[in-house]
Amino acid sequence: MRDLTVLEQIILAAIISLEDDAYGVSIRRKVKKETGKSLMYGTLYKALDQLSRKAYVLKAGGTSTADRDGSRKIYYTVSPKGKSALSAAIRLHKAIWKIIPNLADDSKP
Amino acid sequence: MTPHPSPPPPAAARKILSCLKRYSEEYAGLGDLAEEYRQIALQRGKRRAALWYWGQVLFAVPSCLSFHLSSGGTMFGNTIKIALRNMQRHKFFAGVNIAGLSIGMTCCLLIFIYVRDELRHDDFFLHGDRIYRVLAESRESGRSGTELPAVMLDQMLTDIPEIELGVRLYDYGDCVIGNGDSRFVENRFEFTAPEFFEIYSIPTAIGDPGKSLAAPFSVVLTRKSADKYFPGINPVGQVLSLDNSHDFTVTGIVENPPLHSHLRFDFLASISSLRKMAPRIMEDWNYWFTNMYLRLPPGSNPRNLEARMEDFIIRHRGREFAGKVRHRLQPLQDIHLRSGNIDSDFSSSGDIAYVYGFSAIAVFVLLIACINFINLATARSSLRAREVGIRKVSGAHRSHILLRFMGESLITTGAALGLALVLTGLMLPVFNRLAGKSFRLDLLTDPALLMPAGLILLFVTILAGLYPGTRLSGYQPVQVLGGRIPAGRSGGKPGSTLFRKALVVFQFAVSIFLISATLLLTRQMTYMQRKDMGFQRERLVVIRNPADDNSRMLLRYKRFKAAAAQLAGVEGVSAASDVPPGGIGTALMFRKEEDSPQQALQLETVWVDTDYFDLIGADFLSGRNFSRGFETDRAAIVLNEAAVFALALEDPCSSRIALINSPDLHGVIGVVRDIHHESLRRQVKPVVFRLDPFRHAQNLVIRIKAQAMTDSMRRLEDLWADMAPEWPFQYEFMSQKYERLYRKESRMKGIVRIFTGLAIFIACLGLLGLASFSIARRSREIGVRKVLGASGLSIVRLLSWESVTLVFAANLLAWPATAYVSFLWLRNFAYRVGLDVWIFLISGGISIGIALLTIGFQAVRASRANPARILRCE
Repeated sequence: MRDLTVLEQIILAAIISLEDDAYGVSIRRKVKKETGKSLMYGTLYKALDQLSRKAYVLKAGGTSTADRDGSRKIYYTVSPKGKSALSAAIRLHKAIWKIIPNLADDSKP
Repeated sequence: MTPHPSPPPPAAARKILSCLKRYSEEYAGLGDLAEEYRQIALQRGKRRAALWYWGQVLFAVPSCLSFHLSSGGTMFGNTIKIALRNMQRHKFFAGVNIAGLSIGMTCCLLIFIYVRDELRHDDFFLHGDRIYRVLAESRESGRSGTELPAVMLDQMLTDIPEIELGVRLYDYGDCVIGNGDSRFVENRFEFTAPEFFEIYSIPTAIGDPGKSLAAPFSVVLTRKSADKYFPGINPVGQVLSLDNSHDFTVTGIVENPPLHSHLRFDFLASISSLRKMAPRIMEDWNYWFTNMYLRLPPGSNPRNLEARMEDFIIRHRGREFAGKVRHRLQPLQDIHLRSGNIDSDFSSSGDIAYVYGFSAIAVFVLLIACINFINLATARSSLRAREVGIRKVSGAHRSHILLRFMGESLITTGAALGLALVLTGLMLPVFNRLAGKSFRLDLLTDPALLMPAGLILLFVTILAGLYPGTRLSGYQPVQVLGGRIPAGRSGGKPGSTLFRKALVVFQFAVSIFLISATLLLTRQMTYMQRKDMGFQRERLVVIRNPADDNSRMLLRYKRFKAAAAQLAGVEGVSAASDVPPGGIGTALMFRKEEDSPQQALQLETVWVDTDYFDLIGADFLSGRNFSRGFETDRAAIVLNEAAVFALALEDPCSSRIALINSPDLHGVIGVVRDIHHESLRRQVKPVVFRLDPFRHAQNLVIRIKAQAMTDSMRRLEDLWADMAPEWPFQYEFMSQKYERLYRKESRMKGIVRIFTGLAIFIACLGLLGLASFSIARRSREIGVRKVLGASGLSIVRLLSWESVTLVFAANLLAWPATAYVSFLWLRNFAYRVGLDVWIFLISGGISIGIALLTIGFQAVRASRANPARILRCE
């Protein structure tokens, strides 16, 4: 089983934190706000597709509104499987940082 | 969200996005981007928003595509990489493969274009599947003609209700059209009825097709004629004169007839005019001059109609006539390609035999290119044996490996196809010239062409990739990695080498066949061009005497003759009703003095002037020529050899013959050696030569002296202008006439030559690839032999021996096929060369020579190699 890429982790985290309101635009906004990364939609969708293939992320359709060009919104949630994959990734990070605890503080912000 | 209407995102970008189905539908890409677009537009203005939108969309395009590749096509990407790497590493063999394949494909494409065009002739006729041309077939000779009596159609429409529509088309032939004071020679002047437009779909530019050909003396111009005679103005209402005798009023313009039409015309005049011009011919059952097309109702069987026509003929012309002439209906689609046996004013240059022949060549050439591919790939498969072993050990299934190999084959074939398309484009002008067509370059982007190109791609990939692929994927790791691949032969059954050798033999056999075909064609053409036609052809000029009126024609001839004979550059002037190679226009029934009319034979009849035979240099076998001195010669006749034979005259010069129903007897005063009045495809017909001043002045024949020919021609032209200013000076050299005659064969020769060259090239490539490889494999053996004292020459002999035997076998295979096909083709010619053993020997020699040349270089190089270097690595 392949590990989650960093991008995938960011996205999963964003979806979890957005609870019921995780869709394309909001995910992008969240990621931008929390990490400063400006995700291109192409990258986002590609990653979402990878995640949904592995059943880490579930899609659900919403209603369409006028300002969305007529097409419906698609909401994403993280599945239990996804949550455990993310936990494993966090554990990995913690393990890494434990070895070199001072690095994050030494580097300039 | 704030309640104002949302500005729409840029339309073009949105369109692109909607094409990326995955993003726009599965992931609501359209919606997400639209929402954000709106936000940005509100916050930072429409401009920024549009820019942002475009950026997102453009980025998404490659992202979406790479997405497809990576999920479905990781394997494919990898295959491409490996395939390209392989090609780079073995540039020579890859080059040979691609070159061979692309040449084969180019052949195929060119021939496909040609064949498709030939088969598409006359496809624009309305209800073409129900249209037939009426033929008159002579039961005796088997030949057919398309000229029929005009009155026949009127009667047929009355008697036979099954005919839905009938149209007459009369090709008036060479004539002179006058516009005011200027005169032009034309020869595509036709008479037809308004119904013509119901079957011939041609756009009308001006005028009403239903009405424009109704009134007598109306004429419809094609765009070409309109531009020629009345450039820039509306010609309707203008007047053109025909042969200085009749005036026609222009009533409309049509577009030029399409190129792939068996009918070619520049003028269409109303056939009702003929009733005024020459009323007799429209009623005369014995005057055969017009073509006839019929349209039958849906579902009718032309055979039934033919049977009805037979009854019709018996009823109107008598049983005896019906016994001699039969009418057949030729379907429209057959006209272009299957009119070989038909004499017509609208003769076509197509021939179904050529279509079959070229298609066969295309298939063969492609086949031998594929064979190269197969051979080369198989031979070198031992090199990749280890790769296959490792892949299998790593978990690849046999089917995966096969698929991978097919993928590589697809890539090579794809590259070859790309190259082939380019080559086809480059060759198009040359091909056009050879085949007498005019294909345009944008044909290459025509989907109708790309589809068969794609099919060729598929076909070649599968055919050429399957066998080597199956072999390669069949290698067992145990066999390949652990032990040794059986030495010498590549990994397997001795039967495989035999198969490969058989393929090379087949390739060469095809090439040998084509070489022989070229040789034979060249021989036959040279023979036809050089053969003695029964008269002296050099420096003869034929001038057409305008056919206005018999007495005027005669007067014109006499005056011209008198004046021209005085010119220094002129050797002599004479005239005849028909000159070679134009065939003979009149055939009458004659009987011997002692025979009854039932025993009469049809003999061609030519009217000549007394000095005609002398002028053209014909020889008399017995008796004498006509002479002015003998008053009785007016009724006398001269026969040719064929006539004497046909009439079975034992003592021709004391025989007399008469016209079938006339009591007047004509004495035969001489027998002239056969003169070929037509192409050498036809047998010389029996001919009766007669004197009749009113009928011989149609073609003036002049022999001019060798010196200052252009000057003499100019003087003749001036002379004519003085005498007959209202008629243009229309002449042709005898040599030009003959060149035109054999144009079809000439073209065929050119095309076959090219394909022979190509086939040889491909076969050599095949041999080269195979031989190089096999020589390379035997390098150790060569090294050992050299060490043991073999001379360079003996090594070269050893290496070449195998190839030479292959070529020899190819010869044995090719000769019977060549002999058979040549025999069939030569049968078309009444006068032909024999099928000599020489042709086989020469083509055999050429093939062996080529083979030696091809591998000789490699063999010599191998024999010179330093044994020490070869044997070092073991």
